[in-house]
Amino acid sequence: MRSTYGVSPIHMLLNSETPDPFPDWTRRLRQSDPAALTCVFDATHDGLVGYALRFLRDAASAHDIVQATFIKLWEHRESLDPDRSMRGWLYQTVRNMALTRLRDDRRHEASLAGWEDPPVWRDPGPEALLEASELGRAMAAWMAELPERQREALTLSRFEGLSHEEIATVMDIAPRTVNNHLVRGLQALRARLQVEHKQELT
Amino acid sequence: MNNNSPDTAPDSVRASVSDPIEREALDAVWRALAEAKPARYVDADASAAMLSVITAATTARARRRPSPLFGLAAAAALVMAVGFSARPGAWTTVTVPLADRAQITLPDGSEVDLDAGTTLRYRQDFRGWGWGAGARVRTVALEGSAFFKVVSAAQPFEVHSYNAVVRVLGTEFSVDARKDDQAGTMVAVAEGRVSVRGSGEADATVALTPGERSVVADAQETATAASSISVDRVAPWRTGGLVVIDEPLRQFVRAVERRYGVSITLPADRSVGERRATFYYPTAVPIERVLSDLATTQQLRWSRQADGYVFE
Repeated sequence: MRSTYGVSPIHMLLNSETPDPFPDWTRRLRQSDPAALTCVFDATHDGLVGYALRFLRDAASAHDIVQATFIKLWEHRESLDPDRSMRGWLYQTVRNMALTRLRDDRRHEASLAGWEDPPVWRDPGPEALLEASELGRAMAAWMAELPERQREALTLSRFEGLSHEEIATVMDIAPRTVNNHLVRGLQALRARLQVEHKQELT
Repeated sequence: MNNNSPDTAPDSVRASVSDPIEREALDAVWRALAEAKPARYVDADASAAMLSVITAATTARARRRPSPLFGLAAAAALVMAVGFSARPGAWTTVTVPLADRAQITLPDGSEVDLDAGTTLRYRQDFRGWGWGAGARVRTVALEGSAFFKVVSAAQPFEVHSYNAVVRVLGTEFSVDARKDDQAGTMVAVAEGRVSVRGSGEADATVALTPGERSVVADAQETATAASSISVDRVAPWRTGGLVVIDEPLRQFVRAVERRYGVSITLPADRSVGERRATFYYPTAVPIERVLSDLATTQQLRWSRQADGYVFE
Protein backbone atom coordinates (compact mmCIF):
# COMPACT_ATOMS: atom_id res chain seq x y z
CA MET A 1 0.00 0.00 0.00
CA ARG A 2 2.28 2.70 -1.26
CA SER A 3 1.24 6.30 -0.88
CA THR A 4 1.37 8.30 -4.06
CA TYR A 5 1.62 11.36 -1.84
CA GLY A 6 5.18 10.35 -0.99
CA VAL A 7 6.37 11.17 -4.50
CA SER A 8 4.15 14.19 -5.12
CA PRO A 9 5.66 17.42 -6.43
CA ILE A 10 5.03 18.96 -3.03
CA HIS A 11 7.25 16.32 -1.48
CA MET A 12 10.00 16.96 -4.02
CA LEU A 13 9.74 20.67 -3.37
CA LEU A 14 10.24 20.05 0.30
CA ASN A 15 13.27 17.89 -0.25
CA SER A 16 14.91 20.24 -2.69
CA GLU A 17 14.37 23.07 -0.21
CA THR A 18 13.05 25.42 -2.85
CA PRO A 19 12.51 28.79 -1.21
CA ASP A 20 8.89 29.77 -0.66
CA PRO A 21 8.00 31.81 -3.77
CA PHE A 22 5.05 33.60 -2.16
CA PRO A 23 6.99 36.56 -0.64
CA ASP A 24 8.46 37.30 -4.08
CA TRP A 25 5.02 37.07 -5.71
CA THR A 26 3.62 39.42 -3.04
CA ARG A 27 6.38 41.93 -3.81
CA ARG A 28 5.76 41.72 -7.58
CA LEU A 29 1.99 42.00 -7.13
CA ARG A 30 2.49 45.16 -5.10
CA GLN A 31 4.29 46.52 -8.16
CA SER A 32 1.29 45.58 -10.35
CA ASP A 33 3.07 42.79 -12.22
CA PRO A 34 0.27 40.83 -13.89
CA ALA A 35 2.51 37.77 -14.45
CA ALA A 36 2.80 37.37 -10.67
CA LEU A 37 -0.96 37.02 -10.46
CA THR A 38 -0.82 34.17 -12.97
CA CYS A 39 1.90 32.45 -10.90
CA VAL A 40 -0.19 32.72 -7.74
CA PHE A 41 -3.22 31.48 -9.65
CA ASP A 42 -1.42 28.41 -10.99
CA ALA A 43 -0.02 27.59 -7.55
CA THR A 44 -3.20 27.95 -5.51
CA HIS A 45 -6.24 27.67 -7.77
CA ASP A 46 -6.90 23.93 -7.41
CA GLY A 47 -6.56 24.00 -3.64
CA LEU A 48 -8.83 27.03 -3.29
CA VAL A 49 -11.57 25.51 -5.44
CA GLY A 50 -11.36 22.28 -3.44
CA TYR A 51 -11.58 24.28 -0.21
CA ALA A 52 -14.57 26.31 -1.45
CA LEU A 53 -16.31 23.06 -2.35
CA ARG A 54 -16.12 22.03 1.30
CA PHE A 55 -18.65 24.76 2.00
CA LEU A 56 -20.71 25.00 -1.16
CA ARG A 57 -22.83 22.50 -2.94
CA ASP A 58 -22.09 23.30 -6.55
CA ALA A 59 -18.90 23.69 -8.50
CA ALA A 60 -20.15 26.82 -10.28
CA SER A 61 -20.47 28.77 -7.02
CA ALA A 62 -17.06 27.54 -5.89
CA HIS A 63 -15.51 28.73 -9.15
CA ASP A 64 -17.31 32.09 -8.92
CA ILE A 65 -15.92 32.67 -5.46
CA VAL A 66 -12.35 31.72 -6.33
CA GLN A 67 -12.49 33.96 -9.39
CA ALA A 68 -13.81 36.87 -7.32
CA THR A 69 -11.04 36.24 -4.79
CA PHE A 70 -8.30 36.61 -7.40
CA ILE A 71 -9.85 39.79 -8.79
CA LYS A 72 -10.04 41.11 -5.23
CA LEU A 73 -6.38 40.15 -4.73
CA TRP A 74 -5.48 42.25 -7.76
CA GLU A 75 -7.55 45.19 -6.60
CA HIS A 76 -5.93 45.06 -3.17
CA ARG A 77 -2.43 44.42 -4.49
CA GLU A 78 -1.05 47.76 -3.38
CA SER A 79 -2.15 47.24 0.21
CA LEU A 80 -0.80 43.68 0.51
CA ASP A 81 1.30 43.25 3.64
CA PRO A 82 4.65 41.68 2.64
CA ASP A 83 5.05 40.28 6.16
CA ARG A 84 1.79 38.38 6.09
CA SER A 85 1.02 35.21 4.16
CA MET A 86 -0.76 35.88 0.87
CA ARG A 87 -1.83 32.25 0.80
CA GLY A 88 -3.49 32.66 4.18
CA TRP A 89 -5.27 35.74 2.84
CA LEU A 90 -6.54 33.80 -0.20
CA TYR A 91 -7.94 30.92 1.86
CA GLN A 92 -9.46 33.37 4.33
CA THR A 93 -11.16 35.37 1.57
CA VAL A 94 -12.52 32.23 -0.09
CA ARG A 95 -13.82 31.05 3.27
CA ASN A 96 -15.54 34.36 4.08
CA MET A 97 -17.13 34.61 0.64
CA ALA A 98 -18.26 30.97 0.77
CA LEU A 99 -19.86 31.42 4.19
CA THR A 100 -21.60 34.60 3.05
CA ARG A 101 -22.89 32.82 -0.05
CA LEU A 102 -24.07 29.92 2.09
CA ARG A 103 -25.91 32.27 4.45
CA ASP A 104 -27.61 34.03 1.55
CA ASP A 105 -28.64 30.73 -0.04
CA ARG A 106 -30.03 29.50 3.25
CA ARG A 107 -31.94 32.69 3.91
CA HIS A 108 -33.47 32.21 0.50
CA GLU A 109 -34.29 28.57 1.10
CA ALA A 110 -35.55 29.26 4.62
CA SER A 111 -38.02 31.72 3.18
CA LEU A 112 -39.37 28.92 1.01
CA ALA A 113 -39.56 26.21 3.65
CA GLY A 114 -38.60 25.49 7.23
CA TRP A 115 -34.87 24.97 7.14
CA GLU A 116 -32.81 23.19 9.71
CA ASP A 117 -29.25 24.38 9.84
CA PRO A 118 -27.08 21.61 8.45
CA PRO A 119 -23.35 21.65 9.24
CA VAL A 120 -21.33 24.16 7.27
CA TRP A 121 -18.37 21.90 6.55
CA ARG A 122 -18.96 19.17 3.98
CA ASP A 123 -16.71 16.21 3.45
CA PRO A 124 -15.66 15.16 -0.01
CA GLY A 125 -18.04 12.67 -1.58
CA PRO A 126 -17.10 9.05 -2.21
CA GLU A 127 -16.10 9.88 -5.79
CA ALA A 128 -13.17 11.91 -4.44
CA LEU A 129 -11.78 8.78 -2.83
CA LEU A 130 -12.32 6.30 -5.64
CA GLU A 131 -8.60 5.85 -6.00
CA ALA A 132 -7.86 5.83 -2.29
CA SER A 133 -6.65 2.72 -0.50
CA GLU A 134 -8.75 0.86 2.02
CA LEU A 135 -6.87 2.62 4.81
CA GLY A 136 -7.45 5.95 3.08
CA ARG A 137 -11.19 5.41 2.89
CA ALA A 138 -11.31 4.36 6.54
CA MET A 139 -9.29 7.41 7.58
CA ALA A 140 -11.60 9.68 5.57
CA ALA A 141 -14.65 8.11 7.22
CA TRP A 142 -13.16 8.64 10.68
CA MET A 143 -12.24 12.19 9.80
CA ALA A 144 -15.87 12.78 8.88
CA GLU A 145 -16.81 11.92 12.47
CA LEU A 146 -14.52 14.55 14.01
CA PRO A 147 -15.94 17.90 15.13
CA GLU A 148 -16.21 20.41 12.28
CA ARG A 149 -13.36 22.70 13.42
CA GLN A 150 -10.93 19.81 13.90
CA ARG A 151 -11.70 18.50 10.42
CA GLU A 152 -11.19 21.89 8.86
CA ALA A 153 -7.90 22.52 10.67
CA LEU A 154 -6.63 19.04 9.74
CA THR A 155 -7.62 19.48 6.11
CA LEU A 156 -5.85 22.83 5.85
CA SER A 157 -2.75 21.54 7.60
CA ARG A 158 -2.41 18.07 6.11
CA PHE A 159 -3.94 18.42 2.64
CA GLU A 160 -3.42 22.11 1.82
CA GLY A 161 -0.05 22.44 3.56
CA LEU A 162 -0.89 25.63 5.46
CA SER A 163 1.15 26.66 8.51
CA HIS A 164 -0.45 27.13 11.93
CA GLU A 165 -0.30 30.91 11.49
CA GLU A 166 -2.01 30.69 8.10
CA ILE A 167 -4.74 28.42 9.43
CA ALA A 168 -5.25 30.81 12.36
CA THR A 169 -5.79 33.66 9.86
CA VAL A 170 -8.14 31.61 7.73
CA MET A 171 -10.29 30.24 10.56
CA ASP A 172 -10.03 33.45 12.59
CA ILE A 173 -8.79 31.69 15.73
CA ALA A 174 -5.53 31.77 17.73
CA PRO A 175 -2.59 29.64 16.51
CA ARG A 176 -2.75 27.90 19.89
CA THR A 177 -6.33 26.86 19.21
CA VAL A 178 -5.29 25.60 15.78
CA ASN A 179 -2.72 23.41 17.50
CA ASN A 180 -5.34 22.10 19.96
CA HIS A 181 -7.67 21.19 17.11
CA LEU A 182 -4.87 19.36 15.31
CA VAL A 183 -3.67 17.45 18.39
CA ARG A 184 -7.19 16.40 19.37
CA GLY A 185 -8.08 15.42 15.82
CA LEU A 186 -4.95 13.32 15.39
CA GLN A 187 -5.46 11.69 18.81
CA ALA A 188 -9.04 10.75 17.94
CA LEU A 189 -7.90 9.25 14.62
CA ARG A 190 -5.12 7.34 16.38
CA ALA A 191 -7.68 5.86 18.80
CA ARG A 192 -9.80 4.66 15.87
CA LEU A 193 -6.76 3.21 14.14
CA GLN A 194 -5.79 1.27 17.27
CA VAL A 195 -9.29 -0.15 17.80
CA GLU A 196 -9.34 -1.27 14.20
CA HIS A 197 -5.93 -2.89 14.50
CA LYS A 198 -6.97 -4.87 17.59
CA GLN A 199 -10.06 -6.13 15.78
CA GLU A 200 -7.90 -7.31 12.94
CA LEU A 201 -5.64 -9.18 15.34
CA THR A 202 -8.37 -11.04 17.21
CA MET B 1 5.20 25.87 -0.67
CA ASN B 2 3.96 23.20 1.67
CA ASN B 3 4.84 24.23 5.19
CA ASN B 4 4.34 20.77 6.58
CA SER B 5 6.41 17.63 6.22
CA PRO B 6 4.68 14.53 4.85
CA ASP B 7 6.57 12.35 7.32
CA THR B 8 6.01 13.93 10.72
CA ALA B 9 3.26 15.97 12.32
CA PRO B 10 3.93 19.74 12.53
CA ASP B 11 6.47 20.72 15.21
CA SER B 12 4.04 22.44 17.54
CA VAL B 13 1.76 19.39 17.45
CA ARG B 14 4.69 17.14 18.37
CA ALA B 15 5.83 19.59 21.03
CA SER B 16 2.50 19.41 22.83
CA VAL B 17 2.83 15.65 23.35
CA SER B 18 5.39 14.67 25.96
CA ASP B 19 5.25 10.86 25.63
CA PRO B 20 7.63 9.84 22.80
CA ILE B 21 5.55 6.74 21.96
CA GLU B 22 2.45 8.89 21.68
CA ARG B 23 4.38 11.35 19.53
CA GLU B 24 5.46 8.50 17.27
CA ALA B 25 1.84 7.34 17.03
CA LEU B 26 0.64 10.79 15.98
CA ASP B 27 3.34 10.88 13.29
CA ALA B 28 2.05 7.55 12.03
CA VAL B 29 -1.50 8.92 11.86
CA TRP B 30 -0.16 12.00 10.09
CA ARG B 31 1.55 9.78 7.48
CA ALA B 32 -1.51 7.56 7.07
CA LEU B 33 -3.66 10.63 6.43
CA ALA B 34 -1.88 10.97 3.09
CA GLU B 35 -4.02 8.05 1.95
CA ALA B 36 -7.19 9.94 2.84
CA LYS B 37 -6.34 13.01 0.82
CA PRO B 38 -9.34 13.61 -1.44
CA ALA B 39 -8.72 13.74 -5.17
CA ARG B 40 -8.34 17.31 -6.27
CA TYR B 41 -11.32 18.85 -7.88
CA VAL B 42 -9.63 19.87 -11.10
CA ASP B 43 -11.76 21.20 -13.90
CA ALA B 44 -8.94 22.50 -16.08
CA ASP B 45 -11.53 23.71 -18.53
CA ALA B 46 -13.19 25.96 -15.99
CA SER B 47 -9.90 27.07 -14.49
CA ALA B 48 -8.51 28.11 -17.88
CA ALA B 49 -11.63 30.13 -18.57
CA MET B 50 -11.38 31.62 -15.10
CA LEU B 51 -7.81 32.77 -15.55
CA SER B 52 -8.65 34.41 -18.86
CA VAL B 53 -11.52 36.27 -17.20
CA ILE B 54 -9.27 37.34 -14.32
CA THR B 55 -6.54 38.40 -16.72
CA ALA B 56 -8.98 40.40 -18.82
CA ALA B 57 -10.46 42.06 -15.74
CA THR B 58 -7.10 42.88 -14.23
CA THR B 59 -5.44 44.16 -17.40
CA ALA B 60 -8.40 46.47 -18.06
CA ARG B 61 -8.16 47.76 -14.50
CA ALA B 62 -4.41 48.05 -14.63
CA ARG B 63 -4.69 50.39 -17.57
CA ARG B 64 -7.15 52.63 -15.86
CA ARG B 65 -4.88 53.00 -12.87
CA PRO B 66 -1.49 52.51 -14.42
CA SER B 67 1.54 51.87 -12.32
CA PRO B 68 4.92 52.86 -13.77
CA LEU B 69 5.91 49.23 -14.24
CA PHE B 70 2.78 48.13 -16.00
CA GLY B 71 2.71 51.12 -18.31
CA LEU B 72 6.20 50.35 -19.41
CA ALA B 73 5.39 46.72 -20.07
CA ALA B 74 2.26 47.54 -22.04
CA ALA B 75 4.03 50.10 -24.18
CA ALA B 76 6.94 47.85 -24.96
CA ALA B 77 5.01 44.75 -25.87
CA LEU B 78 2.42 44.45 -28.59
CA VAL B 79 1.57 41.04 -27.28
CA MET B 80 2.45 39.75 -23.86
CA ALA B 81 3.05 36.06 -24.14
CA VAL B 82 3.67 34.47 -20.79
CA GLY B 83 5.33 31.08 -20.90
CA PHE B 84 5.55 29.88 -17.34
CA SER B 85 8.02 27.06 -17.74
CA ALA B 86 9.08 24.34 -20.08
CA ARG B 87 6.62 21.83 -18.63
CA PRO B 88 4.64 20.36 -21.54
CA GLY B 89 1.40 20.88 -19.64
CA ALA B 90 2.21 24.50 -18.77
CA TRP B 91 0.01 27.24 -20.14
CA THR B 92 0.88 29.86 -22.68
CA THR B 93 -1.16 33.02 -22.30
CA VAL B 94 -1.37 35.65 -25.02
CA THR B 95 -2.93 38.97 -24.04
CA VAL B 96 -3.46 41.77 -26.55
CA PRO B 97 -3.42 45.24 -24.96
CA LEU B 98 -6.18 47.75 -25.69
CA ALA B 99 -6.00 49.67 -28.97
CA ASP B 100 -3.96 46.87 -30.54
CA ARG B 101 -4.41 43.78 -32.67
CA ALA B 102 -2.20 40.74 -33.01
CA GLN B 103 -1.70 37.68 -35.16
CA ILE B 104 -0.22 34.50 -33.75
CA THR B 105 0.51 31.00 -35.01
CA LEU B 106 -0.46 28.09 -32.79
CA PRO B 107 1.75 25.01 -32.32
CA ASP B 108 -0.24 23.06 -34.96
CA GLY B 109 0.27 25.83 -37.56
CA SER B 110 -3.23 27.27 -37.23
CA GLU B 111 -3.36 31.07 -37.38
CA VAL B 112 -5.32 33.31 -35.07
CA ASP B 113 -6.08 37.03 -35.35
CA LEU B 114 -6.77 38.58 -31.95
CA ASP B 115 -8.66 41.82 -31.37
CA ALA B 116 -7.80 44.45 -28.75
CA GLY B 117 -8.24 43.40 -25.12
CA THR B 118 -8.33 39.68 -25.92
CA THR B 119 -6.72 36.81 -24.03
CA LEU B 120 -6.01 33.40 -25.53
CA ARG B 121 -4.62 30.47 -23.54
CA TYR B 122 -3.40 27.05 -24.60
CA ARG B 123 -1.19 24.30 -23.24
CA GLN B 124 2.37 24.26 -24.51
CA ASP B 125 1.93 20.67 -25.70
CA PHE B 126 -1.29 21.87 -27.37
CA ARG B 127 -3.45 19.09 -26.02
CA GLY B 128 -6.75 19.12 -24.25
CA TRP B 129 -7.14 18.72 -20.52
CA GLY B 130 -7.52 15.45 -18.67
CA TRP B 131 -6.89 12.01 -20.05
CA GLY B 132 -8.56 9.85 -22.68
CA ALA B 133 -10.28 11.26 -25.74
CA GLY B 134 -10.41 14.80 -24.32
CA ALA B 135 -6.62 15.03 -24.20
CA ARG B 136 -6.30 14.53 -27.94
CA VAL B 137 -8.28 17.64 -28.79
CA ARG B 138 -6.37 20.76 -29.81
CA THR B 139 -7.75 23.16 -27.23
CA VAL B 140 -7.62 26.92 -26.62
CA ALA B 141 -9.46 29.09 -24.09
CA LEU B 142 -10.66 32.50 -25.31
CA GLU B 143 -11.82 35.69 -23.62
CA GLY B 144 -12.41 38.36 -26.26
CA SER B 145 -12.60 38.31 -30.05
CA ALA B 146 -10.61 36.07 -32.36
CA PHE B 147 -10.63 34.86 -35.96
CA PHE B 148 -9.27 31.33 -36.47
CA LYS B 149 -7.79 29.73 -39.57
CA VAL B 150 -7.52 26.16 -38.37
CA VAL B 151 -5.37 23.71 -40.32
CA SER B 152 -7.02 20.36 -40.93
CA ALA B 153 -5.84 17.50 -38.74
CA ALA B 154 -7.19 14.25 -37.37
CA GLN B 155 -7.54 15.82 -33.91
CA PRO B 156 -10.52 18.13 -33.49
CA PHE B 157 -9.87 21.76 -32.58
CA GLU B 158 -11.90 23.33 -29.77
CA VAL B 159 -12.35 26.92 -28.61
CA HIS B 160 -13.65 27.19 -25.05
CA SER B 161 -15.25 30.48 -24.02
CA TYR B 162 -16.72 31.24 -20.61
CA ASN B 163 -20.04 29.72 -21.62
CA ALA B 164 -19.62 27.84 -24.91
CA VAL B 165 -17.54 25.31 -26.81
CA VAL B 166 -16.83 25.59 -30.55
CA ARG B 167 -15.57 22.46 -32.27
CA VAL B 168 -14.08 22.11 -35.76
CA LEU B 169 -11.70 19.98 -37.79
CA GLY B 170 -10.24 22.59 -40.15
CA THR B 171 -11.95 25.83 -41.15
CA GLU B 172 -12.15 29.63 -40.80
CA PHE B 173 -14.42 31.22 -38.24
CA SER B 174 -14.64 33.95 -35.61
CA VAL B 175 -15.55 33.76 -31.93
CA ASP B 176 -16.54 36.74 -29.75
CA ALA B 177 -16.94 36.10 -26.04
CA ARG B 178 -16.57 38.64 -23.27
CA LYS B 179 -17.94 37.69 -19.91
CA ASP B 180 -17.76 41.25 -18.54
CA ASP B 181 -20.03 42.49 -21.32
CA GLN B 182 -22.54 39.69 -20.71
CA ALA B 183 -22.80 39.46 -24.46
CA GLY B 184 -22.62 35.68 -24.61
CA THR B 185 -20.54 33.89 -27.21
CA MET B 186 -21.03 34.67 -30.90
CA VAL B 187 -19.66 32.33 -33.55
CA ALA B 188 -19.60 33.18 -37.27
CA VAL B 189 -18.24 30.95 -40.03
CA ALA B 190 -16.31 32.07 -43.12
CA GLU B 191 -15.33 28.65 -44.45
CA GLY B 192 -15.91 24.98 -43.62
CA ARG B 193 -18.13 23.52 -40.89
CA VAL B 194 -18.29 24.39 -37.21
CA SER B 195 -20.32 23.03 -34.31
CA VAL B 196 -21.32 25.16 -31.32
CA ARG B 197 -22.71 24.20 -27.94
CA GLY B 198 -23.18 25.72 -24.50
CA SER B 199 -20.47 24.67 -22.01
CA GLY B 200 -22.82 22.48 -20.02
CA GLU B 201 -24.73 21.04 -22.97
CA ALA B 202 -22.74 18.15 -24.37
CA ASP B 203 -25.50 16.99 -26.72
CA ALA B 204 -27.29 20.11 -27.95
CA THR B 205 -24.91 21.24 -30.69
CA VAL B 206 -25.73 23.59 -33.56
CA ALA B 207 -23.94 23.05 -36.88
CA LEU B 208 -22.90 26.13 -38.89
CA THR B 209 -21.80 26.46 -42.52
CA PRO B 210 -20.19 29.50 -44.24
CA GLY B 211 -22.23 32.68 -43.88
CA GLU B 212 -24.00 31.46 -40.76
CA ARG B 213 -23.74 32.54 -37.12
CA SER B 214 -25.05 31.38 -33.76
CA VAL B 215 -25.07 32.88 -30.27
CA VAL B 216 -24.88 31.22 -26.85
CA ALA B 217 -26.47 33.97 -24.79
CA ASP B 218 -25.03 34.86 -21.40
CA ALA B 219 -27.95 33.50 -19.43
CA GLN B 220 -28.97 30.73 -21.80
CA GLU B 221 -27.07 27.53 -22.11
CA THR B 222 -27.83 26.34 -25.62
CA ALA B 223 -26.75 27.82 -28.94
CA THR B 224 -29.36 29.60 -31.06
CA ALA B 225 -30.33 28.16 -34.43
CA ALA B 226 -28.09 29.26 -37.29
CA SER B 227 -28.85 32.68 -38.78
CA SER B 228 -27.19 34.24 -41.80
CA ILE B 229 -24.34 36.72 -41.77
CA SER B 230 -22.45 38.15 -44.72
CA VAL B 231 -19.06 36.42 -44.93
CA ASP B 232 -17.27 39.79 -45.26
CA ARG B 233 -18.76 40.83 -41.94
CA VAL B 234 -17.09 37.98 -40.05
CA ALA B 235 -14.51 39.54 -37.67
CA PRO B 236 -14.47 42.96 -39.44
CA TRP B 237 -11.95 44.21 -36.86
CA ARG B 238 -9.24 42.33 -38.76
CA THR B 239 -9.26 45.14 -41.32
CA GLY B 240 -9.78 47.88 -38.77
CA GLY B 241 -13.56 47.71 -39.10
CA LEU B 242 -16.06 47.97 -36.29
CA VAL B 243 -19.43 46.23 -36.45
CA VAL B 244 -22.22 45.61 -33.98
CA ILE B 245 -25.52 44.15 -35.05
CA ASP B 246 -28.52 44.91 -32.87
CA GLU B 247 -26.67 44.89 -29.57
CA PRO B 248 -27.05 47.04 -26.44
CA LEU B 249 -25.29 50.39 -26.69
CA ARG B 250 -23.11 49.63 -23.64
CA GLN B 251 -21.55 46.73 -25.57
CA PHE B 252 -20.80 48.94 -28.54
CA VAL B 253 -19.24 51.53 -26.22
CA ARG B 254 -17.05 48.84 -24.61
CA ALA B 255 -15.93 47.76 -28.09
CA VAL B 256 -15.01 51.36 -28.97
CA GLU B 257 -13.09 51.70 -25.67
CA ARG B 258 -11.07 48.59 -26.44
CA ARG B 259 -10.47 49.54 -30.05
CA TYR B 260 -9.18 53.04 -29.36
CA GLY B 261 -7.86 52.44 -25.84
CA VAL B 262 -9.99 55.25 -24.37
CA SER B 263 -12.55 55.64 -21.62
CA ILE B 264 -16.14 56.58 -22.55
CA THR B 265 -18.86 57.55 -20.12
CA LEU B 266 -22.52 57.16 -21.05
CA PRO B 267 -25.24 59.30 -19.43
CA ALA B 268 -26.15 58.34 -15.86
CA ASP B 269 -29.55 57.15 -17.10
CA ARG B 270 -28.89 53.42 -17.40
CA SER B 271 -31.61 52.84 -19.98
CA VAL B 272 -29.41 54.59 -22.56
CA GLY B 273 -26.87 51.76 -22.35
CA GLU B 274 -29.59 49.20 -22.92
CA ARG B 275 -30.86 50.75 -26.17
CA ARG B 276 -30.17 48.42 -29.07
CA ALA B 277 -28.12 49.71 -31.96
CA THR B 278 -26.46 48.63 -35.19
CA PHE B 279 -23.22 50.22 -36.43
CA TYR B 280 -21.21 49.11 -39.44
CA TYR B 281 -17.76 50.45 -40.31
CA PRO B 282 -16.05 48.08 -42.77
CA THR B 283 -12.67 49.81 -42.39
CA ALA B 284 -10.87 51.96 -39.80
CA VAL B 285 -12.34 55.39 -39.05
CA PRO B 286 -11.25 58.16 -36.66
CA ILE B 287 -12.81 57.87 -33.22
CA GLU B 288 -14.42 61.30 -33.60
CA ARG B 289 -16.55 59.97 -36.44
CA VAL B 290 -17.76 57.02 -34.38
CA LEU B 291 -18.62 59.30 -31.44
CA SER B 292 -20.46 61.76 -33.68
CA ASP B 293 -22.46 58.97 -35.34
CA LEU B 294 -23.38 57.58 -31.95
CA ALA B 295 -24.39 61.04 -30.73
CA THR B 296 -26.49 61.74 -33.82
CA THR B 297 -28.38 58.46 -33.82
CA GLN B 298 -29.02 58.50 -30.07
CA GLN B 299 -29.64 62.25 -29.77
CA LEU B 300 -26.77 62.75 -27.34
CA ARG B 301 -23.83 65.18 -27.20
CA TRP B 302 -20.24 64.17 -26.67
CA SER B 303 -17.28 66.09 -25.34
CA ARG B 304 -13.67 65.36 -24.59
CA GLN B 305 -12.74 65.53 -20.92
CA ALA B 306 -9.44 65.07 -19.12
CA ASP B 307 -10.09 61.38 -18.43
CA GLY B 308 -11.90 60.40 -21.61
CA TYR B 309 -15.02 61.06 -23.64
CA VAL B 310 -18.35 61.85 -22.03
CA PHE B 311 -21.85 61.60 -23.50
CA GLU B 312 -24.68 63.75 -22.19
